[in-house]
Amino acid sequence: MEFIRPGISLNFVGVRLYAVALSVILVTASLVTLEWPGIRWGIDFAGGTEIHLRLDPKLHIDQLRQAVDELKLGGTQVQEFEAGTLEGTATNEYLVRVAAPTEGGESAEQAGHNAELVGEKLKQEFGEGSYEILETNFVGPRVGKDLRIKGIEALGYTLLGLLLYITFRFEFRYALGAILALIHDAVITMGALIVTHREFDLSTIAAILTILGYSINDTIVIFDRIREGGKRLRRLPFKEMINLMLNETLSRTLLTALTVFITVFCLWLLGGGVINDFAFAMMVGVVTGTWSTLYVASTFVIWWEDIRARRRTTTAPLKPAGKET
Amino acid sequence: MKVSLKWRIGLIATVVAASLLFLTPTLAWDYKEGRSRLPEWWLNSKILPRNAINLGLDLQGGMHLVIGVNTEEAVQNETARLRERLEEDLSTEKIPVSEVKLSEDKARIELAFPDAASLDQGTQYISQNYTVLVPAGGKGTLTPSYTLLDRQANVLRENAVRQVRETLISRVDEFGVAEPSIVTQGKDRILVQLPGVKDPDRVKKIVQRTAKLEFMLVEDGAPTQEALLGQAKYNGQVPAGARLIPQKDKDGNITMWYLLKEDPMVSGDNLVDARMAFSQDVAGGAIVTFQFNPQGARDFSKLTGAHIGEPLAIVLEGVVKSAPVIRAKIYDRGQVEGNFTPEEATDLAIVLRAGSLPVHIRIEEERTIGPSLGQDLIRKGKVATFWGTALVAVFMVAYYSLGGLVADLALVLNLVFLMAMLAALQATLTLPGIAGIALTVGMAVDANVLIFERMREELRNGKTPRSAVEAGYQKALSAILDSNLTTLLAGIVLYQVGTGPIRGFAVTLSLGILTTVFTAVVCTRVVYDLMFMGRGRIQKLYIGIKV
Repeated sequence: MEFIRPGISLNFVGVRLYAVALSVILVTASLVTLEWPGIRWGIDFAGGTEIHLRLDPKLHIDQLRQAVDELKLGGTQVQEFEAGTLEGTATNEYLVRVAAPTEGGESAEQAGHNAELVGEKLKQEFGEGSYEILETNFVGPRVGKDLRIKGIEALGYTLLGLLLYITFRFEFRYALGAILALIHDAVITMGALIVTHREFDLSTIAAILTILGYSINDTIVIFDRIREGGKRLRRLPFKEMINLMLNETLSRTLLTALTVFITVFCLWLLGGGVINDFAFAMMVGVVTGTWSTLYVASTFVIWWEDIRARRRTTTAPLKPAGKET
Repeated sequence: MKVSLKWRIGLIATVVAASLLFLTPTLAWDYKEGRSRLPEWWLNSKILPRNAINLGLDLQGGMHLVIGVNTEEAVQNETARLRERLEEDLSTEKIPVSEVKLSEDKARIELAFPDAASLDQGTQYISQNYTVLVPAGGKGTLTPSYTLLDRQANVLRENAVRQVRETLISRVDEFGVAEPSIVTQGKDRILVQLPGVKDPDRVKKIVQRTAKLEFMLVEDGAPTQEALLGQAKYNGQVPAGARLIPQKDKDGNITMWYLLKEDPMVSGDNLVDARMAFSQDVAGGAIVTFQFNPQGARDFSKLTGAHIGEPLAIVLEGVVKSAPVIRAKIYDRGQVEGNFTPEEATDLAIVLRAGSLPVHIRIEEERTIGPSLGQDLIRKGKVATFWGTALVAVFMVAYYSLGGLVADLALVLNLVFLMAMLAALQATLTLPGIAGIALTVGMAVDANVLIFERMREELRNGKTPRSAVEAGYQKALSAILDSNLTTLLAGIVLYQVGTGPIRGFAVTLSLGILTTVFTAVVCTRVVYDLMFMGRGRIQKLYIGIKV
């Protein structure tokens, strides 16, 4: 079977300005969503208490809500538990959330006991056996802050590490193009998470890091080809050479995207709970990663080459374009 | 070439055999019962692997606590102790000093000298005899202040964390939790992981208690604070050398206030044993009996012998539990009464046996996962991974025909190797870790896709099947290595940053990359080399295109 016929010649480079315009719009839109409606921080970063419980079917969410409200813990929230794509909300499973206390305050001491308080209240209100606490999470303000810092550091270090690696293996301009493509992917993925009302927690960071790892993968394969093509096809103008290389690798680019997409789609559909959010982020990342590989990274390299060429025509005699080390 | 092929086949066979060996305990593990179904002789042998794949807390249920240790308290306590000693020493040395006090934040000792001569004398004495103190301000004035040497303070902080950790370990051991993990995290945190804990609230209470037991002589007592301190002799002030400590009833209401002589004569640090017992004389019935070590027994008998007929307060965690009158000299045994239920008394005995915490701690993160949730997650994770793998496998065969089959073989080997490495390294499999395995499947075929696409190109360029294979592997290699190394980089960063479940993801992702490179590059190559050998050698490359 072949999806992409050999000798295919799509004009990637020719439409690059439209493609980049689309990317710019998406990135801008995503950046806007960071401010409005803004990131919904999950418990890992925001801190607070989260109790996942199953109630007797005879009991109603309003009864639970009322019981929790009576505790007057401040900033409580009761909602149905989202079990995954297929199940939607799980029957009789609920999430009780208590907002994080401020750091250092007296309430910080007490916050560690919020889960116990809710447990005792449920026992008192509904009786033992009419509820089951499946999971409780408490993240204190100090830990939440640390995790936030660590998460940002992780993204920073990964980008820096990749920048160094590609500079070492290829050239700085390739590295810059690749990193630009990565930031593009990360920002759009974040925007997609915000628009679909998903929370940011540690698994989001994991998803974004994985997307970076995956997207760079794609970009490197194409850079590898461009480097090879630069040696093989010196006569060809730089832009045409890049376009040819994009076409030659197109089959592989799409196939790999497809197989990865298949697996994350299965995770999204069947994995449930935490995995669902993770897989959703990955699905978005696979699509943007492929897009950015085809359009963003190579466009940047072309643009860089253009500037260099322009400078060269004014200062020095013309050398063959796309000359590599 | 032939020899190297033999070697490669040998290598693969060895890796497969070792993998199956390492996976056996996992396959024979009864996760419901939590025990191995392997025969005795296997388990008793020293060489054969016994450990099944570790399931993370999110999959098997349990409790994850991050405990913050108040390390500053250790420094403050030491500073306070030094202040006391310094005050005594200065007075024995007859160095005039008008004030030796602790600063508000308890981090410095502030002195005040009456004149320059005594200041000289004093500072000289301190610099000679108190090498752990360094000047912290007020230099050249009559009111210098001192603070603990940084190095010394750090030692105290580290010690505090170590002591807390040791105490927690013995408490958890006493309580009886299977395979607890209690490790230091950073400078002032301790990570406690307790798989399969049934009663998390109770464990939390046991972990958090300071369990500080003190025996102090009673100076005075009254039902309310006003009535006690309102007496003329106190003039509303707690007298020097005394501490004001309440007694509480079962519901936590204060029933009595005591003035107790400050330095505790004997403390719970000298206990060798503590047990729950029943007593008919006590309401509620349950009490905790304890026994002192020789040092404690000596101090205790001295104390009780010298104060027969006086009340002695038993103070637990800053609250008077009881204040019985000493009837006779007591040597090495005693008991704590205080309206305990049997469970409370048992828990108190546990913490007393395990020792007190040197400083206060606070739970900074707590995650408790019930066992039923984990089983559901494992089931879903397995189903998702199965379908992901199956669809990718079918797709590969549809697209690359025989080549796809070879890639699928690599995929299966990949999963086997990956699981075997998890078992062999005793890495922890978490829910995100399962996602990592599924993702590995999706990304693993990429290496073969790269190779096959190259082969197709070479065939189209008119190469023979054999040289197309050769060129395919050769030319794809750099792209495969580059792309996998970068993903590995992301995986390693993730491992450094992540905790618990996320770390599990980083582990499967990173190990998956290693197994992927091995299976996709080494294993499939052997299959192709075999195809081109002997009489039955193939004349065509079946990789889904007509050439």
